[in-house]
Amino acid sequence: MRRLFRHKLGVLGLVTVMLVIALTITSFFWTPFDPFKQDYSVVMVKPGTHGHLLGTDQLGRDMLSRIMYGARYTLFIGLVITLLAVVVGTFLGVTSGYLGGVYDMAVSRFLDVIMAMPDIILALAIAATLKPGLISVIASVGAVGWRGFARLVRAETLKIKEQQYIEAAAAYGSGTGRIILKHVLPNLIPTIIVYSSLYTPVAILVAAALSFLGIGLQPPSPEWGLFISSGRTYLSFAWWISTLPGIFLMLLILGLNFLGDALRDALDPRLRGVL
Amino acid sequence: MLTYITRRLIFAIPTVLAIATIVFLLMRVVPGDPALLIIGPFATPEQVEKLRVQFGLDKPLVQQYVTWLGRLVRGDWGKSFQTRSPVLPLLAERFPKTLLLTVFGLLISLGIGVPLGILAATRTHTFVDYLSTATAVFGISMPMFWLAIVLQLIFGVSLHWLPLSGSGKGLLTLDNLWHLVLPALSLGLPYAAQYLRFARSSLLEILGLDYIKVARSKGLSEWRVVYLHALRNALIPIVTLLGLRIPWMIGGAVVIETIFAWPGMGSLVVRAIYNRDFHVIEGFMVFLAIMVVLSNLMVDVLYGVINPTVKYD
Repeated sequence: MRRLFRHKLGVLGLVTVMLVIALTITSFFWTPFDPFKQDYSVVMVKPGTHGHLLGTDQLGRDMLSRIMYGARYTLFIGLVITLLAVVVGTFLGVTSGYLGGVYDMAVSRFLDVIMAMPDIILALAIAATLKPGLISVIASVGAVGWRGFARLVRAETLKIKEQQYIEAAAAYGSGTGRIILKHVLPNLIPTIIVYSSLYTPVAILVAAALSFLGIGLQPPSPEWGLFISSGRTYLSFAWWISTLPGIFLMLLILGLNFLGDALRDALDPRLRGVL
Repeated sequence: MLTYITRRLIFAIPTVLAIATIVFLLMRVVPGDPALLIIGPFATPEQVEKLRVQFGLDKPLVQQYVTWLGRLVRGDWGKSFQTRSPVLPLLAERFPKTLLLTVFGLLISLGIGVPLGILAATRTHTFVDYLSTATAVFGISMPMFWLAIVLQLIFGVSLHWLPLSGSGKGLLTLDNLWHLVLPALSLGLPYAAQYLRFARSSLLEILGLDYIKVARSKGLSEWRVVYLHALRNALIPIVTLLGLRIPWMIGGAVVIETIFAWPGMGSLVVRAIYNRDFHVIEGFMVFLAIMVVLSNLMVDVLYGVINPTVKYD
């Protein structure tokens, strides 16, 4: 019964994510208004007035258009960061897990040390040294995101290493690189997929938080985190500037979480306690 | 137990040193000349050079490191560029408010999350269960800064019940605690959702075990079975999770403090980042590392106390 429940939620999650992607793709062809056009005659109008379905912001720019346009940044950042984290984390995890020895010890110790610090703080520190902008967001969060992957992949690699087919391959004379590529990596894919789908929402959240704090993307980029922070000044009379982008952000993250849960249950229920 | 604690404390020092080293490297080796970042793009090359000498950035990296480390352990954590005052006292001064926020946030998240999780576990597949689980998933997906703003909107702007920002006078005064309500809720609620899910799944797992069946078949009342036997064991992984979550809460506190203008370390650090106040950022990271290591140790000790099968020696 519960598996079915999860399954339904997973579909719901997928639908939500697809909706956001659809919004993003649409934004390339059409938005209700120009996301960057400032119109002082309609400054901060309530949602629903004059065809502005979600109202306008403090400079008269249409909220819906800006949110649609901003979805590009959110999705792009989330994807790139996750990709970065997957590549670096998997590389380190597989090599340290399979090769072992001093290298493994060094990587594990390093991992233990930096795993303690939360993502946001480390990302803040890295972002502090870079010029604010798209690259700094991706670099700061990506430089921190690989930790979870590395640890997980390493644990899985250690388990896979014990399997008999690895022994067989080695006995055949397959080189280490070949074994890793042909035997170890393919078995890691389900775990990587599940963890990616669970990590992407985290990456998106941290990136949005960085932009919210003013250390990530800068105005006038229509990034959702930026909306939420810039709307704070007008909270008492134009609450929609801050709250509406947040709802979209939350829906996206919700959808990704549901999707991740469902994927995890489908691909590897053993991971339920771990992830 | 005491020897265990001492041993852990001794091991903690290299961990903190390691993080401090990483911070050091981060601030100096990352692309982007630190001196240029500090002084801004409008300075002349001579001014930049003067600044580099002033901060010892022209010396070889190893020498910089040794000097820096020496100063660190002696308590000289540099001076803030903005206020020209020493960093360590500055951090120490703002620490109590951050600690207060984090502790109350933790209390809220535990106080709401764990009981609800237990409730959901004991009434699976009922309306209560589905409601709690759904709320939990919402809570996990909610951006913390967004929740903070929504709470501000509802309780501060519309209802005028609670103050929007700042903190009151003193630490544990009624005025201060009144100002603490919204920030602590913003920090605690999302994590309450996590604890809810975890408490629920943890208790469910225990309830499915054989010895629970034995207890039930022995005729023990449901109350005894759940609360006396199952819960004690279910609490163990919850405590472990707690330890892992504390550093994350501190991270969240940074954002919350900025939103509510709560005068803790978090808002200090964010301002320092805007102003490229490197010594403050470094100091904060080292301070945080120490706090993280200490909180991990506390949780491990707590774990040893709760779980009698674990023996530390």
